[in-house]
Amino acid sequence: MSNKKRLHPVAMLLSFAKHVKEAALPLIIFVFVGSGDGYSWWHFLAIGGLLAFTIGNGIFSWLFYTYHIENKELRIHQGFIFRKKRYIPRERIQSIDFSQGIIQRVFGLVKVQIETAGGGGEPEVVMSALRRSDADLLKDELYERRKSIEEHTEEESVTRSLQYKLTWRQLLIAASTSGGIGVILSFVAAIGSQIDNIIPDEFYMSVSERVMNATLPFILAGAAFLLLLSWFFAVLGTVLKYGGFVLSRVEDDLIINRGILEKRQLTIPVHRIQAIRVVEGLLRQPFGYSVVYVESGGGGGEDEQFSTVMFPLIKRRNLKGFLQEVLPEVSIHEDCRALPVKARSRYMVRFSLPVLIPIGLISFFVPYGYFSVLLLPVACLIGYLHYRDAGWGWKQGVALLQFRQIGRTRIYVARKRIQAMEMQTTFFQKYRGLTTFQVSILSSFAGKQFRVRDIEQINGESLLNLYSYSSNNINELNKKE
Amino acid sequence: MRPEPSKQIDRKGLRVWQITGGIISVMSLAVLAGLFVIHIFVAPWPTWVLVVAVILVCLFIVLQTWILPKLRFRQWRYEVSEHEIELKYGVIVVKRTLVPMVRVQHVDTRQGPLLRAHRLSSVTISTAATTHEIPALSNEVADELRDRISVLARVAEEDV
Repeated sequence: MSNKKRLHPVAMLLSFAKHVKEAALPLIIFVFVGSGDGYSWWHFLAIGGLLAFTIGNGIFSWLFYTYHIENKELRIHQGFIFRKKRYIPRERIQSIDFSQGIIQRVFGLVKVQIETAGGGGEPEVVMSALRRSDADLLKDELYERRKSIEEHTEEESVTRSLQYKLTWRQLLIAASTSGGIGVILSFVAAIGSQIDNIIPDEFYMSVSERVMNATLPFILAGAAFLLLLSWFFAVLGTVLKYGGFVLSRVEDDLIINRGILEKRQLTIPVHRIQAIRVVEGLLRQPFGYSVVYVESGGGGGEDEQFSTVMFPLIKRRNLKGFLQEVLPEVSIHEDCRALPVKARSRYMVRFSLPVLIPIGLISFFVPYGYFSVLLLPVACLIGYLHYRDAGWGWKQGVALLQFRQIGRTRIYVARKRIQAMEMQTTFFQKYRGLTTFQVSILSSFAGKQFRVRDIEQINGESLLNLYSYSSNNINELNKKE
Repeated sequence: MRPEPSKQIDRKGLRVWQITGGIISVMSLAVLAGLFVIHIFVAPWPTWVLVVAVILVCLFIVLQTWILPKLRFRQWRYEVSEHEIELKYGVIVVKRTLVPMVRVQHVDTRQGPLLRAHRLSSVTISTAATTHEIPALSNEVADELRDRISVLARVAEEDV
């Protein structure tokens, strides 16, 4: 594929739609605020000019956007006035991601996003509309090396491709226990606080009077209703996002298909996977469910902490078998050592201290504020839970870090994926022979650090030894395994 | 027990840190002066505010120009072996970092005007995820270290 290709013409429509969406707010302000004494001809001229410019811009950027593969590089030329050429070597590509918005689905097209390592959250290449066949061709070309292997072992590859589908039951469980409630609750609250600007004053007055007179049950019922509403939206959001989730392992790639309205397909080369993250959310942990994420060099948005959901819901006891089948490259183990007892008080103090100041203030200024002292045992309990769920392990060259971040999180990192290891010891930790242990891995957003606080200092040092590449240590390592 | 890294950074680095501390001290003095200007010309502060401010600034200056640079210098250790780089540093939080040669992406030396005046350089070591700095080495040592790490990083092969 050395001839230059363009995107599908629908890309013009998409860029137009995008610009209109971006310009909507300033335009509305311009039209409504700027028209103190009626509209005059220059209003229409300005808007018309802007419109013409946007359309022209869409056409030209489509016309001058070409891509082709040459010399094992994806080469993209774009721009009319400012010409930009971007060359991405095949080896550097972390992930190729197909998705379909509503416009793309109408025309049977896909949006292609290509990511390399690093460089923040935005993908390096976004092609807003490609014919399905072109997109597949592009992907095949960029993965050519693997395709040639595939030809030799085609029969084998059929048997080797695995598929895991998310059932409707699993989807509903995943959706109803998702932690997204908090986010959406704040969203509803934000809308709620804006409503007083929209509804007429008299109505507002009468309602606020009623609310003032309302009894506590009424307010509670209102809060419960709000909670239920936000929960419903959270469920809906998750269902739309993860509906039709299929994870498949084809050759050396993990392929993830998901989404109901906007369909997405992600391809993650297995050798790009840096770590596996297993999260048991607060609502899921009691039922033994967890989410599996993969940390790879590319992909993922802010809501997934720049990693990718590998499977949205899986039983704890099935996890090991599942990962052994789909990702045998990373050997999962349950060899997790708990923290020493002397770390317990440190965890409890760490969570109680920040509560003390607000408790002091509330007790001082608010009548009956001293009831807030009850927060202290709660903070201690949270600290205790963090202590209980923290741990670490090392087996067959795979490090395990376990800690609580609201949900219980486990990180599996193979030794060769750890970019650097660090022990951080504060004065008080040194006094008790404890240390904080941290590993850094590659991630699409700078690097990522995971740490377990308050492990025994000796254990920290032996972890450094296990990680160390010095020859005498390697002998030691071999003996241990 | 894992043996600790043994090499110290250049003694002249202490000097540079003290000068940096001195510059920050001058700025804190300027803030203090601002406080007094407000006191005299705009609105008087309660006396205890001024006293506390003076004490804080004095403490800050002593810490910045004398105690912290000294402790920092005393704590700094590094070791570059054939297979890895190990660092140990930090005053309040003591950090011990291990970076294998296979993970090293590139090495830089760099110097600001202060370091250049004292013929010093810092060496920064970058992996795909992290960046580590060995501050204040003499130019010769820094250059030698950079070249050595660069060669070792290229030689090091994946053993897993």
